[in-house]
Amino acid sequence: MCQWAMIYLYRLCQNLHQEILTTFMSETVLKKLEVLSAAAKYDVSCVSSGSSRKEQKGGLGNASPSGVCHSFTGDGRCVSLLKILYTNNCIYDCSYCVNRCSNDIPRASFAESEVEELTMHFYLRNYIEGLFLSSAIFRSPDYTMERLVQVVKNLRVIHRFNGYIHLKALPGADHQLITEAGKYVDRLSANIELPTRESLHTLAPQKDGAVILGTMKSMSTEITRYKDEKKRFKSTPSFIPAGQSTQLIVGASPESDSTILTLSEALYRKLSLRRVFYSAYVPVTTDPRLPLMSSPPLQREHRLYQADWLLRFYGFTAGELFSCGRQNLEEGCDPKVSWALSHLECFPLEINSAPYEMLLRVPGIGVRSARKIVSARRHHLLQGEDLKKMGLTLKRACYFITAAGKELHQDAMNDVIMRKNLIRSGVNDDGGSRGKKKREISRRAGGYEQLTLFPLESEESTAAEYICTAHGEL
Amino acid sequence: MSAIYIYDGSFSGLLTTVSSLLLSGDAPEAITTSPPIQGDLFISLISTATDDEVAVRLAGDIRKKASEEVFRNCIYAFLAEENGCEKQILAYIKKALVIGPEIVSYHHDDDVIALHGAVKRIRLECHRLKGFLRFEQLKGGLLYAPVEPVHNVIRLLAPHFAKRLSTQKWAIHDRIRHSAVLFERGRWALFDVLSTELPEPDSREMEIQRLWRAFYSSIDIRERANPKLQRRLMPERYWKYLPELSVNEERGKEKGRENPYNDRL
Repeated sequence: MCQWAMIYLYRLCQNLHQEILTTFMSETVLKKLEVLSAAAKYDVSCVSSGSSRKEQKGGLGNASPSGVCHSFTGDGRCVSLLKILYTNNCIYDCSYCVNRCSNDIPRASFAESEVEELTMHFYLRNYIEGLFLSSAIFRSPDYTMERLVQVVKNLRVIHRFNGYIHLKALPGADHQLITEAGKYVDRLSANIELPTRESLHTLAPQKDGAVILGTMKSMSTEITRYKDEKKRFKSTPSFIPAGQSTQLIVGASPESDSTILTLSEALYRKLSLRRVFYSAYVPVTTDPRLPLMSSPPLQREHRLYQADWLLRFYGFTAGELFSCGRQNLEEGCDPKVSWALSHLECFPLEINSAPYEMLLRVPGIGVRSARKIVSARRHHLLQGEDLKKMGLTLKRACYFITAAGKELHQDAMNDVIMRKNLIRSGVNDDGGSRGKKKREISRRAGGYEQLTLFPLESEESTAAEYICTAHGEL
Repeated sequence: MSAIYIYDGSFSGLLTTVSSLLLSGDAPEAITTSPPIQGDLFISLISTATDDEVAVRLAGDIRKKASEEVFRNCIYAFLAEENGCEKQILAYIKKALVIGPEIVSYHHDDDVIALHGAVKRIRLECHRLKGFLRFEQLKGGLLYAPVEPVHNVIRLLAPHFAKRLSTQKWAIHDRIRHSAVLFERGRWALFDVLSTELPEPDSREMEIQRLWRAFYSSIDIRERANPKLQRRLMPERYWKYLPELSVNEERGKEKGRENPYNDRL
């Protein structure tokens, strides 16, 4: 009897011990998760689209080409991937970054198995579409990259995980490692962060623009090589099916919108990047090299994204958006309206006959509406009423189109009146010095102000030079 | 004289009714599943018996004369379960049989606009739920997801999760329509739910939910707070079953419930 009781007690203790151990384990994982997800949140990319990874027998998951948002944070960003850093122990000291080595913050590193387990458990419960793994540079780019590649390899090979994986390609890591990673992941990205070599030199002295571009270029060459091979052999294993992307920080350095968008355009055209992300600089540190601001330049970021869409889906070029010597996008009105107002000679367009490419240039008509118009007008002469029924918002478009020869507004086609009607805040920016002043005011009205500008305002010409050299390099 | 047509609520039933209406050329007052509570002297009630053969023939006609897409639109509009959808489907089918596959680009036509609107709404909800659906692992390994959708979407969600979680055993439970999709060994089927007695959650379930909540709250960037945008992209009606929105958790505590499953059974 006594013996049984002893065995029972022993078992009980064992169970208890096990329980304490797992709670303890999960406590540490919880702490790490908090630290390392908070450290990764300023990377804005959280896209799970562009890859149609088919499910595999006995494996878990697939990737749907349209991407899926699984939740939205309090700031309205989509949560699609488990976005974490492998470690935030960094050897670099980039002034704009939370994780720079001189910053006094809690540090943590995951173990490979912890990342794998979190991904599998979250994926199974439909919390996430996949993993976004980034890292601070620990010891050396090669050492860190090796760890990252090991994690994604384990996920694919051991856990047979078949969901979406976005991995950071660490600039300066060995070419072979990055090619190895490309076999397992859906997307690779290297962040340029600062659009000119000068800014990079000032704010992140240990980083080298040429190295970052070199990494991106080699990935691009690999992707092209893979595509050629795929044409010949259908069974070629996939290589970064969702392509590469990058991120630029907006507002931490003095570059103009024109510089930023010209760079983006070059990246899309020459390196066939899928996305360039713009991240409004969030003041996470105080450093004399950085501008002081009360809140991030969200309006500017918004306008840059609008312009980015114009480049990718609407057939615009960066040069067109900055006609009349303007260097920045107007904050008070969207870049398409801005373009249309300075090209009134192209309008009004007759929607029943205008080519698709021109319909896309009408403010208020997007890709979907333009397609609808083109397909509906085959059967029917479209009237203003029809457009409304089709769900088009004519608020802006009405000034630039005619339907069956009729105008859709009563106002005179006059630049000043149109501006007044089109731009809610009523800021009239004519690009001169007066305009600049007004822009400053509208910026303030937009909810933030830039207190001190970067001291070197004449940098713009050298910035342009950098772009030229970048073009040469690409 | 106008009439209200009654059918049994199935898609075959609706197609049978539509087929007979196309033959007779009558314009119905309404097509519904249940007769109105208050009768009307001047409106007669006509109920049609579901005939699968007739329904299949009409389905074949739609596919052949119009297209697969047009037929799918009819199914989606039916599942959207919006008021008066039956009459919209009738009008759409009538036009589709005359116009053919081009009907999908008649963006100016009122009947087409109405039906495509319903299709758009159900597809949006379906797409959203692909993300907002949450499974909980129960003892024994079953993954259980409760949902309360506006439209009848679970059978449209099933193929997505069948591909994704092909090695698992899972269930999606529509708690408004009392139906569920069960998936096991590579096949799924739709069931009516009469009673739900679920096992306890798996021993690690709460721990994983805690980890997820911790992740969710730590990725929020306070400087960029925009709750209006958040609500627009993720309407509050979906929050009930999201473990990351702690409102859910607090609500449970308020009522003194320890086990969050009590109110779900």
